[in-house]
Amino acid sequence: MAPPSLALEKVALLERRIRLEPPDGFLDSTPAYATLLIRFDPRADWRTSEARVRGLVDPIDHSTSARENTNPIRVVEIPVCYEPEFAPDLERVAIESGSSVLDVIAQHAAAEYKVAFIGFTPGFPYLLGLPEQLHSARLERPRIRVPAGSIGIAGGQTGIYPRETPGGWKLIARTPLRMFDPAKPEPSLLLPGNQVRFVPIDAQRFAALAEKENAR
Amino acid sequence: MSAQLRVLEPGMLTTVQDLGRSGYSSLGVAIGGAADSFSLRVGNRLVGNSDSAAGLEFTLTGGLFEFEKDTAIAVTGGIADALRNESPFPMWSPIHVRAGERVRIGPVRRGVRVYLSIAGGIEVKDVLGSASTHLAAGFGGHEGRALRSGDALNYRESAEQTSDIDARVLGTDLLHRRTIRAIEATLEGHFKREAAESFWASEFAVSNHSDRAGIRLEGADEIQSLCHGRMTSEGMTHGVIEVPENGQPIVLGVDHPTTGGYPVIGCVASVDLPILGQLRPREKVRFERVSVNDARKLLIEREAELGRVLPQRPELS
Repeated sequence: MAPPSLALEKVALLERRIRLEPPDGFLDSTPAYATLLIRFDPRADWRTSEARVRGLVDPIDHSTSARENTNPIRVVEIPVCYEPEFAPDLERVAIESGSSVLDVIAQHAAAEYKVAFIGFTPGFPYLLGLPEQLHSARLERPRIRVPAGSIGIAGGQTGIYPRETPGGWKLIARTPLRMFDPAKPEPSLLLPGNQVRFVPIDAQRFAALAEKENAR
Repeated sequence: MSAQLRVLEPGMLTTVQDLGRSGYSSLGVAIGGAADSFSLRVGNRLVGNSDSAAGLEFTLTGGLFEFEKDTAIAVTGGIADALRNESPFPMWSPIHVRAGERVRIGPVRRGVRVYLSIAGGIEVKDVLGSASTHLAAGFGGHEGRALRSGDALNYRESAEQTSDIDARVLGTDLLHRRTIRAIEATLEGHFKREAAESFWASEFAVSNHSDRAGIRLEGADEIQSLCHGRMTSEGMTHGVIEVPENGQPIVLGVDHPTTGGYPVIGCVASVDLPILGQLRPREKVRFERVSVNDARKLLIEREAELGRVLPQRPELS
């Protein structure tokens, strides 16, 4: 259940405006599907800052978002392996959607996704654009260990686990890419607004890419 | 000159922490840092550091450490045993440690977390602008993980004299205040007024399943929300009080998920955030509603009290 992407555009625009001209006491902001959390220094004069933010929100409508969000769209290709050892829930998703494993893979890899926001844990992208036939409920019992790079599905949401963590999303593929590297100037591989395409690879290619990623 | 702090016994969960990293929440990186930042700041001031110097955070147990060179240290936070070569020394006061001496800290008898500050701070490489250990993502601090025996950390040798200041008074609220001041969230569409009132009137027990990411609370009555799991994720921050479907609130800690999908009933006032780092499983807590203005005043008063007892040393340039 993801809100329309118009909300996302407004959130992105508001965040841009705030970062261009931060109100007094501004510390940090966290975008999500339809909200922007703004943190201020609690000692700052919050009334003035709140008024400033309201002043920035009010004039945002569809036309201003189209006008100001003129950044070229970045397309990122994410190699993923759908072989059984990397996709423990793929067969179940296929059965539930009444199609074959190959069909699910074809649909998943053909779709275009958009990064709504990065949340939960460092580098975890929440992606929009999961084909409706692939929508699938969370696991009844979350896994204690979800391997890093796993592509998960929960309802209409889909995302990529950057690190091994516990998790309740169904896992249908895995990427060897590192989603988050704090040593890089841009630590997160994906950023809000990016377009994502999943490119199927086999286990051999997965191993080769994983080795390359770890060597860096 | 750099010297080594040798870890002889690491304790259950001991990490390098400073005041955390700001500015990366849009990449999924929470503020992190010392769960009881106030105690770390006091410890830092006691040994002449800037507030943001890195120290060690202990959890329930302490540890055993050997100092290679002379330095000044201070131990703050929850009440714990503190021994230098087997003889007890007071917490909340700076003490001098000589080369080769061993310091034992713990167990923690009241509160949860204890901080060790060393003059000059612990030297680790900053990651995303902070020395804090981010355990879930495995970066920052010492190799992105909790300390193990055999580890060695660098600190700066210091021959500086220690004063005989006693800052114990500053720890009173951290260890004794269990009525936590918080600001009510906008309830619109998320909670009925009666549900919110029952939250503010309830007493909760701190669950065993509490950690740096969040404090889980258990109350006699479920706090009913109107959302039934149909919320979309939104940004979260330290101190936010979420109510999941089981009606038992979670207060987000320093290592919180940066986004979450449960309705929010309130947010702990900044002045009381450090108390969250000292809430011990099974302790009873309540929440007291305060206005944004009062929350701000309380914080400014607390900062003034800290400044009176321990003026911050101007940063050396």
